[in-house]
Amino acid sequence: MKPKRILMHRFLIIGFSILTGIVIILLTSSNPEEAISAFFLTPFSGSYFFGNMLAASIPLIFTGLAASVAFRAGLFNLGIEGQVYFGALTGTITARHLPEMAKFPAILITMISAASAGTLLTAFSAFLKIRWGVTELISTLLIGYSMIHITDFFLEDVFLDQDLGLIGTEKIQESLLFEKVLPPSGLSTAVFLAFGFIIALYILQEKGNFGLKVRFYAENPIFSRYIGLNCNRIALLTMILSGALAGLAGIVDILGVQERMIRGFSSQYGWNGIAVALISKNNPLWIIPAAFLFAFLEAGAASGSIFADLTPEISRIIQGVIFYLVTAYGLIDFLKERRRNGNALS
Amino acid sequence: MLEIEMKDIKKTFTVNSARALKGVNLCISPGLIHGLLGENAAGKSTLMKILCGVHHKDSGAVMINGKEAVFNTPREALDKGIGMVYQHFRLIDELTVYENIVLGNETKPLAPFRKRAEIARVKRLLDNFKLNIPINRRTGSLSVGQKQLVEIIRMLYKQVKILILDEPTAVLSEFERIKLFESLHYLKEKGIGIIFITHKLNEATAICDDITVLKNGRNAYFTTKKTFNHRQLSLHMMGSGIPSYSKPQTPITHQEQVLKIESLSMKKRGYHILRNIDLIINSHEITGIAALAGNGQLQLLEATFGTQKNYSGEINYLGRNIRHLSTKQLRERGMNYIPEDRLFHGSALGAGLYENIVADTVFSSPYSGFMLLKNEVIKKRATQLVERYSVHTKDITLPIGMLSGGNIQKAIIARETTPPPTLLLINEPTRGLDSRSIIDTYNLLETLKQEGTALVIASSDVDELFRISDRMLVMFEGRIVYETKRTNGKWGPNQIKTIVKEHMAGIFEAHDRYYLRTGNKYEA
Repeated sequence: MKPKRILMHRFLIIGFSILTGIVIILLTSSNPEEAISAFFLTPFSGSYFFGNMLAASIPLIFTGLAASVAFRAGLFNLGIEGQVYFGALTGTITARHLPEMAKFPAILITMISAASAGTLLTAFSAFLKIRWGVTELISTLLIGYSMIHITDFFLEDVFLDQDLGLIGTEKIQESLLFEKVLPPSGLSTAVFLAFGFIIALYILQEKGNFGLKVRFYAENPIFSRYIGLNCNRIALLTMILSGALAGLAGIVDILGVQERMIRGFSSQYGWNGIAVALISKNNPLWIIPAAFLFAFLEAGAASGSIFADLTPEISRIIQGVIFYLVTAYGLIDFLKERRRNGNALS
Repeated sequence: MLEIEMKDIKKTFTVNSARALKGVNLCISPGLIHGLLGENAAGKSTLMKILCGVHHKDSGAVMINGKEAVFNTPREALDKGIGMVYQHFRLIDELTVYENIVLGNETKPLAPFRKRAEIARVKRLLDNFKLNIPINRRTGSLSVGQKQLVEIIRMLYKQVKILILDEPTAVLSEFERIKLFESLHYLKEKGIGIIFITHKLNEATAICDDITVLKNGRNAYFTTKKTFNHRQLSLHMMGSGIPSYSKPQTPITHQEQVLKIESLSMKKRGYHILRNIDLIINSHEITGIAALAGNGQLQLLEATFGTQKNYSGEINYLGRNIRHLSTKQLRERGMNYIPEDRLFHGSALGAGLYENIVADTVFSSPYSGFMLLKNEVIKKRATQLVERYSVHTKDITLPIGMLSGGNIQKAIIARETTPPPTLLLINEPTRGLDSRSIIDTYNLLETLKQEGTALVIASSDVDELFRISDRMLVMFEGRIVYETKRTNGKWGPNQIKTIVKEHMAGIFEAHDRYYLRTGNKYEA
C-alpha cells in the first residue's frame, strides 16, 4: 500500500470511531449536544485544556517509544507501568538529595537516575532471557507488577511527606522543575524533550546500524547469528533502551506536571504506551499523533464527566470503543502483512 | 475422476507489478502424470497456486469436468479435490503421523467407534504406500522422504483427485526418489491426476505422460510420452544456447593449508553426530562432501563456522584454534558460508533484497560510518551485485521473501562470494536453481578456486560433486567413510560413482556390517 493511502485509511478509521462515540452519546445522554461538545470540543477550547492535553501526551510518547523499541526487535516489555513508577520514585529521591548545583546538570542527573532505574528492571529480564531462556514477556510483566507494590511501600513508609494530604514525597526544588510554556496549563518544556527523543530514535532506528541489526534480529535470529551479529547483545541493548525510556516517562511527568512523586500518578501510562506503539506500527514519527489521540480521549472523558451528564463509565466506554476500533485497524494491518509475507514464503 | 482445464490464465502481482502469467493453458487428465517444466520464475508455482486457491487469477478460467470453478481459498479447492504438496512441508512436527493426516478434517467430535474407523483408514493408506511407520509416531522424527509420503497421504485422506507436487525430488535422496516414483505409479493406477513440477529433465521424462514447458509466463511447448526429446525440451525451457559445463584442467601448483580439523566429535542427547573427524582443507581446491541429509555434514560446517560450539576436538583455521572466535571474527578472517536452508537460515525474508545482499558487511565501512548506514552506497553496491549475479527483480528494495526461491539463492551466493573468501563452506549449492543458474554457479565456484579460495561443498547430489570437485569425501552417520580424488583431472576407476553412492548409503566393507545393524551403539 502507498503511504498516502495508509494515511487516508487511518483518518477514515479515526473519523469512523469518533462517529461511533457520538452515537453512544446520543443514545445515553439527556442533552447530547452539550455532552458531545464537552467530550470532543472542550479539550481544544482554550490554552488551559489544550495545554493539559498536550502535557498528558508527553509520558505517552515516552512509554510508546519504550514499547515500540522492544516490539521492533520482536521482544516484549510488558512491565512498562512498573518501570515508569519505579523510575519516577528513584528520580524524585535523587532530585531531593542533590547538592546545590547548576540547573542543567542537576536535571540531567535526575533523569539519568530515573532511566537507570527502568533499565535495571529490563536488563534483569534480558539477563534472565539470555542466561536461562526465561521469556521476557513473562518476566517483565511479573517484575513490573511487583515493582509497583515495592515502590508504593517505599513511598508510604520511607519517603512519605507527612504534611501532605496525599500519599506522596516532598515537593521537588522549584529550580529543578521544567518551565511551563503555556500557563496556566501544565504544559512544560518537556514537550521539546519528547520531540527530541522521537527524532533521535527515528534516526537510530531508520538510519542507524542499530536499527537494521534489530530488524535482522526480529526477522530471523538464526540469520542474524549467521551473518555475524551478536544476538544476545542486541536483545540486551533493546531491553536497556526500552527500560530507560520507560523510566524517563515517569520522571518527565514528575518534573513537568506532578512536581512530586504521588501514589498512582501514572494513570496507565505503561499500558496505554503499548497501545500507542501498536497504533503507530512502531514508527517513532507516528507515535506523536497516536499519543495525542490517547491524551485527547483522556481529556475528553474527564471534561465529559465534569461539564456534562456523561458519567465516567460512559466516558470510558466511548474511550474504549474508539480505542478498540483504532487498534483493531492496527491489527488488520499486522495480519495483512503477515499473510502477504506468508504467501511470499511459499 | 477430475478433468481440469485451465484456459488463458493471466496474473500480475500488484506488489512488484511483475507479470507472472501472460495467458497459460493447461489440461490435466485423471490417471496421468503431467510434468510442468520451466526455469526459475517461469510461472510454474504461480500457476499451481492459482489452481489450488492460494492466488487469484486476473483473467482466464478454470474448468472442472467442463464446468467453470472459482476457488477463493485453498480449502475450497481442496473440497473440490485439488491438493498440493509444497516444497516446504506443511506438517506439524510435534503432532503424530495420524494427527497430521486427519488435521483439518476433525470437524465432527469423534465418537470412539468413528475414530476407530478413521484410524483403520489411515492405517490402510499407510499400508498402500508400504510405509512402515506406527501412526502414533511423532512426525518430527521421520526422514524427509517419509514426511513427503505423509504429506501425500494427507492429501489422499482428504479425497484429493488432483495432486500437485512442487519439486518433490529436490530434497530426496536417490533411494527416496525411487520410492516416491513407485508411489506415484500406484496413484496413477488409481485414477488420480498428478502435476509434477520440476526443472530436472531426466526425472520429467522418466515419470511423466505429458509435459508442458512454461517460459516467461507463457506456454512454450507441449509434448506427450511418445515424442519426448531431451534436446527439444531443454531448448524450449532455456531458449537457444543450452549451457554446458566442463571443468577446466588447469593444474594447481601452489597450495596452502587453510583448515585443519583434528578428532572432531559431537554428541547430542547421547547420539553421535560427528565421530572423530580428521580433515585438512587446502586453498586452490574444491573438496566435495557427499552425504545424504542428516549424516553430520551440516554440523561439520556449522562447527567450522563457529555457530555450534558443543564439540570436542580441535578446529584450526589459518593456524588458529577457532573455539573462542565468533562467527563475526571468522567472517572478518575470510570465512563464508552458504547454508542449505536459504529461506530460514540464509536470509531475512522481510528485509529488503539490498539489505540482505550486503548483510555481512553492511555494518562496516564503506557502507556505514558513525553508526549510521550510508544507504546510497549500499544501494549502489547491491545494484552491482544484482546485475553481476543476474538476480531477477524489478526493485532492489522489495523484501527478499517476494523473490522466487532461485533468485533468493542467487542473492545469497552473491553475498557469500564477494569479496572472494579464503574459505567458502557450502551446503547444497544448487538446490532449487535452474540449469542455467547451476552452470553459472559451477563456473563461479571454479573461478574462486583458481583465485585461491578453499571450498568445501556438501551435497547429496553425487553427480554434481563429480563434476565440480577436485577431491571427494563421503560422510555416513558422522564419520568420513571414504575418500578419493582426481588424478590428472580424472576420477579413479569406472565404478567410482557406485562406490561413492554405496558408501553414502552405508553399504561398505564387511567388518562394518555389525555397525550398520546396531546403529550408533557401535564404538570404533
